[in-house]
Amino acid sequence: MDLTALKSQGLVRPCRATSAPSKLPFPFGLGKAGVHELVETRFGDFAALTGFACAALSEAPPRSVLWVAQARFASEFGLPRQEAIRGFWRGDVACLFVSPRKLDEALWVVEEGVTSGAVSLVVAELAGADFTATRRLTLASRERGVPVVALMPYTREGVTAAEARWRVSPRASSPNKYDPQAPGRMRWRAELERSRTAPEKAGAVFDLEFDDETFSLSLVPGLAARPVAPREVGKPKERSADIRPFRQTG
Amino acid sequence: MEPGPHGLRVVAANSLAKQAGVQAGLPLTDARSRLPELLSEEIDRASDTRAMNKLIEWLVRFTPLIARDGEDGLMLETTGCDHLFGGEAGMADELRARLDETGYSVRMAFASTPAAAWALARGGERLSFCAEGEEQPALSGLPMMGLRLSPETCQLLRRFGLTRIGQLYGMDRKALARRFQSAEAAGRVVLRLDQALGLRHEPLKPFRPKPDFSARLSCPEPIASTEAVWEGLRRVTETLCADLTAAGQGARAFSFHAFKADGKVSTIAVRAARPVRQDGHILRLFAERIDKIDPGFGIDLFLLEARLAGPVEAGPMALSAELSGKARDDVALAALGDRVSARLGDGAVILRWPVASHLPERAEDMRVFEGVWPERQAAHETGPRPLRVFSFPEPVQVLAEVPDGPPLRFVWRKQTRRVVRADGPERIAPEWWRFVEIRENLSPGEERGKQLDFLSDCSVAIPSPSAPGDLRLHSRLCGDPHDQGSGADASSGMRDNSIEQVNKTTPQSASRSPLIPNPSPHEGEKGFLPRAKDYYRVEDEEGRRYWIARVGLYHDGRSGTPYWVMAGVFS
Repeated sequence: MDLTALKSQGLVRPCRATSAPSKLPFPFGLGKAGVHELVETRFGDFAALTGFACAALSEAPPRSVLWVAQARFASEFGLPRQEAIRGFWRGDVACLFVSPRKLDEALWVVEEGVTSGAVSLVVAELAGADFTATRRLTLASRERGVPVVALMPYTREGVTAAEARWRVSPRASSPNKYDPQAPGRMRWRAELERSRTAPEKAGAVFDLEFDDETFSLSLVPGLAARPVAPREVGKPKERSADIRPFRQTG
Repeated sequence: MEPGPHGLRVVAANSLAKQAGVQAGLPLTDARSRLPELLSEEIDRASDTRAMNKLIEWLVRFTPLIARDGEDGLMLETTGCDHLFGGEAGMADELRARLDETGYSVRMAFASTPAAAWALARGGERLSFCAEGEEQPALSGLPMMGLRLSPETCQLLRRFGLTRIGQLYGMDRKALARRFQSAEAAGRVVLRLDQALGLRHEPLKPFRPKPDFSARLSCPEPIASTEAVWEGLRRVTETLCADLTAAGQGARAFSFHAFKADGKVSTIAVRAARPVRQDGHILRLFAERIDKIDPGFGIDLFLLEARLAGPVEAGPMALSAELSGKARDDVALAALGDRVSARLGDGAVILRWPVASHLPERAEDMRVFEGVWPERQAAHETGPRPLRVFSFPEPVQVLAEVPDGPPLRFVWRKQTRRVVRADGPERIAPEWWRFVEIRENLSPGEERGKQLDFLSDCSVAIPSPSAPGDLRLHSRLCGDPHDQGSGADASSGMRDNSIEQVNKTTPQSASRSPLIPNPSPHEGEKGFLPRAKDYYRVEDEEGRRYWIARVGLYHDGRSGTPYWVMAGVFS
């Protein structure tokens, strides 16, 4: 079989040396369509992951959401609170929660939510998903235009058919201008591990801050992202009498 | 046989024993003397009840309205159903044939009043019919027991020489009443007589509520394949939906019965969040559970019942929620919820429902989604709250300054974390009214819910409302507005004061200094009291933000030193 025959069947295609730079701005299609995976960096970052997902979607917030949380995540971290979700997505949100125990049940519910056309976003907290499952969800999601945001634990690795995979960790919060000892606005570090919409950005690291007054997620420069020399809480003001500071003599 | 007040007695006997003179009510020793080779066994009423309930479920194929009648009787409302079997005689034949196959021997009576049917079934022929208006002649020869009177009343009537029901017809009611000592007993005789003759109404208490709509399909030959079952379901659903559409109604609960040739029935049920009548949707819900139907030796009748009927919201269908301009598409969301619950089980789809409570664990209830959404309420100002709050706060070991310092270091889920920044405390007082109105005579289901509530409050025990001291506590807490303190924690201050006062009134606690926290409840105290919680927002070195609470204040006189819990994790 010669090359033209293969080409006509769509089996081979000319590879492009460089893909065209994507037009999409920062979240690179997150919350538009397709499956986007948000993954913990280390164990225990799941709450930060949830917050980042909500913050990243705050620009065009969905109005009805199906939140599928596998039972282990729902019991380990609790279900998200509706009032707190409103704090990210100004206005009213209709949120339905389902927490199935098994992964295949969870995947079924996600697909059902995507194909039903009743919700404008499906958030899925999944223990994992193989290539077939992500491909299936991606196709359904593209066809219906209902985005799927998958939140996954730190063990998530390997191939995926998802549009992008972000690795998220919390960062020290911004300085609180009213109280230097108190935490300020939420900050995260998000690494774009792989992306189909913006492949040239793969590996890029973003330091992000969420402003809960203007409902906006903004980039912070890496330097400024470092906290300004926080004082330790409750550090004794004066040393006790029997420990003398080092004194230079002579 | 069954143990009675005078030893073992016979409660049921088969026909052979009856011929030998062994009847229900006879002492077992007498029965043995009449029939030495008598075999006896203790009655198992629980199993009998279960078998009877199964029989009722199966009898739904004859009529939807069935009531249990005592231990060994059933009352079937056959109005409008007998023509399906070719009249009452045809129905009786069908019933007898079916029940003979399953091994039950029955006595049947068809009458226009339940009382007349009762009397005829027990006192008359094995199968008797009584047309409307002919109760008087039909009942006249039956024994007085047929009126469902107590044995004492029957004995009394026998002393008057009244043994047949017919003897009561011509009697003057007042003269009859005068012979009884109590007007109540006389009234009962007259009531039963009137009910039997159809002069007074007697309601039936159905075993299961009557369906609002139903559709049936009988098969000429028993079917055993899954495809045929599906086809049968499809046809009855179409018929039922046509009926619903004609009535302009929808229904929220559907149950599908497949009656098998061997006298058993398999049932599957689905529920919808809103009244529906689209056959495609109903079939999709059933599709998740259809494999639970076991055809066995073949199915000869399908029955689909619809309950909880209500009007369907009819209107032009929006293409999508965005286009319709509404925030959500209620119909589509309800349909999605139905499908998920049909697959994962009822109650799988939940909703967070706002509750008027300052306690973060209680502020949002988890409710099963039933197509209803909470009214949007004006959010009251609160401090910062995490996105995810644990429904059961977890214990955490904390190093902190006494009494009010924020955590410096804590161990949570076996990991030690050092706090870099902290904010707080935000004090949330307990809801004393939930602890004072506490909890007597709860139903078992409620008990569990309340217990969970209570656990999430991190309190240790509950005061009993029965003790007079606690009642005093209640009145003081509710009724004395002068106790209110001032400042940020007015309510907690108020409660502290009043509880001190109550403590002073109990002699056991009078000697105790209020400054020493008592680790265990003292004698005379019924338990512990709810405690205020101080919440701190802390951030560790890695930038993770937590919400840690100290349960109780130091020296609040509430049984023990305060302890710490992890309430939630900020994003």
